[in-house]
Amino acid sequence: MAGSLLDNGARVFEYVVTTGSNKPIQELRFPINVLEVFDVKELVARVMNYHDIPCFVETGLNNKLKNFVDNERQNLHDDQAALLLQKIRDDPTLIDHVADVVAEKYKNTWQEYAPPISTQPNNFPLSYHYLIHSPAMQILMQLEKKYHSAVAKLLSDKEQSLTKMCERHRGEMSRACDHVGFEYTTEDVSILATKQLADTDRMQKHWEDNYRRLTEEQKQEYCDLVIRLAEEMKQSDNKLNENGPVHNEVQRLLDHNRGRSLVSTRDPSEDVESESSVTVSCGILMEESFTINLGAQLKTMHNIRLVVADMLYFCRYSDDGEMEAQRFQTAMSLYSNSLSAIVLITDKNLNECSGIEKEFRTVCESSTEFHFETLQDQTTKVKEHALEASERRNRSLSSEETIEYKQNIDEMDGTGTLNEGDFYITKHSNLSQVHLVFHLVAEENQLRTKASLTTVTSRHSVILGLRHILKVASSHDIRHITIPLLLSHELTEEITFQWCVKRAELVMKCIKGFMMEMATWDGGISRTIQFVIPPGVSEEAFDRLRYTLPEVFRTTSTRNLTPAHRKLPTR
Amino acid sequence: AMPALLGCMSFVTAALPHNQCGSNGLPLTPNSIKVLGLAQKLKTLKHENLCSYVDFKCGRHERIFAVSELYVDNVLDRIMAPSSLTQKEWNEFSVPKLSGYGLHHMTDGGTLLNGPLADVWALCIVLMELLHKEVLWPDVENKSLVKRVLCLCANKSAQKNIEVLCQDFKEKNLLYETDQAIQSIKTILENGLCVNLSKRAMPYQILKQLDKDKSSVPNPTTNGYKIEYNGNTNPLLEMDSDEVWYLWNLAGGDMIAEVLRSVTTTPSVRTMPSFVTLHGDLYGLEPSPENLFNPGFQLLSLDTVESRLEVNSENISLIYPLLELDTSEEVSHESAKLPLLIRENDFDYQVHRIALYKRLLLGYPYLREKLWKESRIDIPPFCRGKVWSGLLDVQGDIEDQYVHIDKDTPIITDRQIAVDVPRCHQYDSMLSSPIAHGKLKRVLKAWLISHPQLTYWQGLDSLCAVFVHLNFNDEPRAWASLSQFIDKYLHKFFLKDNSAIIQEYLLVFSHLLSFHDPMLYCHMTEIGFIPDLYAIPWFLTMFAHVFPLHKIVHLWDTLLLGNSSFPLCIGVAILQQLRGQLLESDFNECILLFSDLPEIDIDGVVKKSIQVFCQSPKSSTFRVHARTEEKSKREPTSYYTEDYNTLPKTELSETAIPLSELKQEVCCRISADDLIQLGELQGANNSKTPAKLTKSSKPRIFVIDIRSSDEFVRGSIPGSYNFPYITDKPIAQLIQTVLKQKPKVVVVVGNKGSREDREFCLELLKAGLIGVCVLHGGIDILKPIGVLTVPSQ
Repeated sequence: MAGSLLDNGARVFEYVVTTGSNKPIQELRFPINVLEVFDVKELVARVMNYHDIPCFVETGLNNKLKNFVDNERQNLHDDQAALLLQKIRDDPTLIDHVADVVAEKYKNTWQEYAPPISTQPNNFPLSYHYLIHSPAMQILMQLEKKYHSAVAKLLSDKEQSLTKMCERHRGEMSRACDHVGFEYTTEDVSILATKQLADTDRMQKHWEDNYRRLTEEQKQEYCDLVIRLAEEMKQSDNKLNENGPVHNEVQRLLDHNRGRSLVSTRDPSEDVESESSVTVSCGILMEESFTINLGAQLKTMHNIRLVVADMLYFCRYSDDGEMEAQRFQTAMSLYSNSLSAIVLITDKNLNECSGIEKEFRTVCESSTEFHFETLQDQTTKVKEHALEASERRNRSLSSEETIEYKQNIDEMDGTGTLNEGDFYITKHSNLSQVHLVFHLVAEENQLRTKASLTTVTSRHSVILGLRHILKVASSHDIRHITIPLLLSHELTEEITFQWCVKRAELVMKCIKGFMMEMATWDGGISRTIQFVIPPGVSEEAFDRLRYTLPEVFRTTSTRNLTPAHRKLPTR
Repeated sequence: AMPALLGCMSFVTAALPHNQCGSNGLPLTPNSIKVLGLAQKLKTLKHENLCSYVDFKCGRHERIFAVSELYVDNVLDRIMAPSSLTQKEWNEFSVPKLSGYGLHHMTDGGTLLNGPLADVWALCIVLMELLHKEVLWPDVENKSLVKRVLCLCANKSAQKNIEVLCQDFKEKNLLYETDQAIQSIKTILENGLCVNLSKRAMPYQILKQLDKDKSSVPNPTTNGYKIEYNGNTNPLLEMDSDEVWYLWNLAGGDMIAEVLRSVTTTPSVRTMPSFVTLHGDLYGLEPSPENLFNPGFQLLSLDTVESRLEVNSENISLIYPLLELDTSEEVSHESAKLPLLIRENDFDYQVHRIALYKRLLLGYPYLREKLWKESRIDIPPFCRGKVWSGLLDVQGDIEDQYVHIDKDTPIITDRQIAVDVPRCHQYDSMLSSPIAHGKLKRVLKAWLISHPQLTYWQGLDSLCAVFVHLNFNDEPRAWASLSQFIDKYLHKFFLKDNSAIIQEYLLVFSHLLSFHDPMLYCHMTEIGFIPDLYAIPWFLTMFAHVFPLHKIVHLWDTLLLGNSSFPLCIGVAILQQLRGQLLESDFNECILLFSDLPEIDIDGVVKKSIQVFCQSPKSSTFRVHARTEEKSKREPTSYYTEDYNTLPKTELSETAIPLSELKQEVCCRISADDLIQLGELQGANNSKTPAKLTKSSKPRIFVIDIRSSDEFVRGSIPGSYNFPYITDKPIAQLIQTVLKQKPKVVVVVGNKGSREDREFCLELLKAGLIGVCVLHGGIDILKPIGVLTVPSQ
């Protein structure tokens, strides 16, 4: 039975060529696959040519063959369907299963049968998008700034009180240790230590609770205001109604003398100072822009920037003038189809973040995320998906490749559901220049070794990961993407001039290849690719890369459309 | 008849796995592109009971837009639902029109779209529902609905199914009434509700059955759709819906925006997956409701088009041009002088051009002369495929010829074709579809089989792509046009051994460059950047490998009007556009520059190439390997359109010289007959030759006779200047004398045997003198015919 299900359509066609008399001139008999016949007329022409058949037969042969092919095809499909139906007749329990599958399919593909989707989640984004492209934009940004200050104040208060407590603890402890054997027994000391730890924990938790409460309240208030303000504006001909109740409410909030506690009452200039210690060190140290054309006949123009900067420079939010303009831009394009993203190299451990991820978390938490879930909640979801993925991988590998896979498992530690080359994506609305962050999993330490020059090739998992990142970027309207050119966020002693050049060349070449591939997917859309080199790279190396880039991307005449704007290293 | 409206159905094709690539190592073709290719064929379906498809577009995020006619009053939806039948008001004049029928074909039987498909069974159910005026199993959720249907499997006969189903209607015995209409419905049901597919009738079988008792079915009138006639002429009535659609776009319609406006889209940032594995599996994708299938149509109103087409006394001659009425004043449009790109987007202008060309094409070949004449102004993109085949003199029963070419049997070239086709003009979404790949392969093979003496050279695919793209639904025409095109412009280029042909072509090209731009020629020769290094793909593909399709069509619009030497002029024009960069570049930079040609302004190239063409003496591009006979015996329309290579030869004509000798030449040769004509040595002629500004003015030609003064005195060309040349003789003085005359053509005349003219010409070129050429055969060739005179002292 299964055999006949696989009917491949092969048949034998027979035809007798006759003239008026009864005696046949020729008997035709040839194999034919009814599922693959492209054009009956052409087939007939071929047969007639091959067998030297007189032309008056053509019409008859055409009709005969056409009917034959049509009938056989129909029968074939009918038979296959009959077999399937027979299966159901033989085993009526299948009905449930089939019904499930069909119902599911309809649910997932037909608007009419899909479960009703509440418009609620779309309400806030739509209102926000509307406001940010309207005169209300200013107000929105001011409001965000206010909220930002409040969070900043909370964080600095937290820092202070934790430091104070820490100092007090240290004092207590040192006193206790000095007096061990007199007033205090060792047991007392350990009790004290436990108490102190508990105190610190409590204090931590207290501030974390405060932080969560504040941000949640801010978010709720903000979302609510945005939706209502948008409604108010729509009602008054898309103009800002200065006397509208919602507008007044917002104004009251902005007026910090009478503002509620959700909004900081401090002078904003103070906040800048408290934060400047973090931001001041890294801006763009050196940069160069290129315009390239890719494509054989139809060329698509792309911008490529070579930048020496700290990766998180593109994330940090501050009140600096130029930054604010960037922030506007980012806010306005949040719900557009021109998104910005960066790629961060991250390690396999999702639970405890270290290095750049830790810094990144600090940046994210320095203001409230109004549009998406918090970074923590997003990573929690990622964890679930990663687990699901590794389970699926487990299942599919159960038969073959088991050995190889087992080795992989051994390499993984307890939390390691992530593999090199995997990546997760987090969404953000409170960063200065990016909406999306690709966290590309890699062993950054190994990527920095001398040996990595030979081991990291175009087939390396991290490079494959980059390919998928560009693919997601192309299918999800990401127009600006920032990539660590050396696949590393910092320079170590092992990294030499030669190393930089070779690694950069590899990454550029691969990215170029992926960009060409992307063109077949999205029909050639202009993009900006930003290659970032960690600060501390020598000017000599940067110069060399400036010359390597146009060679790799084969730009000739159109180089440097934007005037070269170079800042010399400040250190 | 005009459709009341145009409508657009849009849907998002099924997503492809991120982690796979094709067997040839190239990325997988997105499903939307596959659909786009498959859908094209639907445009060719025309039937009075069908809403024709007019266009398909592929938008962002794998969304397909299918535009078709839409008749508001009497449309039937292929996606069966009772509402698609009941809401309409039927009367005896209405012609039922089926819409949405292409979904099955364009999605490859539903594999490219997770969507619905309707069949005879569905039709029967709808009929039952209509008959009972009641929905079968209302409020039953999908799962139980499927179960109930599957339970019917147990029933062997349609009769039994009908009985079971009827039990669920309020009125159970309706089907047993003897009313004729009900009886014919019953026939349909009995044929269509069989579980067993081999017994279930196909639609045509049901129709056949019903035909027997025709009386029961109201006979639809043939001409159903009536537009209200208010006394005015309505040009829309005479247009095919694809023309209406074309004009709709020109009138400022933006279909994609209009459709998307009604679709609430989830912003991209929210559709992002949250986790992606190394293998490209996506996790955490949120469903976007707009990606679900919705069978509705977005109506596209024709009001703007209709109002802009309103006929009045001013535009009537433009919309209804009269070709045979010989009015001395040519009816032309005011936009005719605007740049081509503006003209192509000008609604009124295109209405006029299309109307004109439609008539010209109907009158072809009788109106061929006129077609040529109009083509010199421009060719409307809407008719380009047909116009080109007209200009290329495609004739005969090409469909029959094409069918009889065996394109199936494997040949050696198949492998190369299979490699090249998926890399050919793939930025074009239509050409990157599997259907297009198939068409390209077939047309290529057909050409190879029909030209057994020729062979496949890489680049033929690019040539072919242009014609396939233009004649997507007409392979025979693509094949025939390609054949004619190659025969005219690429004669012998596709021989197995084509080196002599290409060598000659490139030499002639290089000489033509020296004629028009001696400075550039000298620079490029000096650094060794010879045409062999860059121009072979230009000419072998007639620039089809170099430019994107939208530029090629404009280039070829003009190319097709020129003779077989015109491509050489295009080559010169391209070099001249890059002149500044080339003059500054050394060999390596030139190689880099040409390995990936920078953006070229094609309009500029077209204009420049016409100029180059007009200023070159026609014998200067003489080639031994050019086609020597013209198939059609058409009178050339002017001095320029005639092909020197096909003209009858006399003793004064240019003759072949060995390739080795041609290589030593530095500039082009002019034939004696050309010289006589240019210099009006045998009396004035009225044609506008390169050396003349207007028809009546005197030709600007300067003849330098480099023979010794003794020889010169004995007999020379009237008006020639004697400059007995010996090596290293300074020529600065001479250049001054020549420049004073501002000649268009400078002819160097020497003796046939001794060739000091080459050295002399090189000197002239180095001095930057434009328009230098040598008299082919020297002075001796003119001796027998008596044009030489003794110069008066």
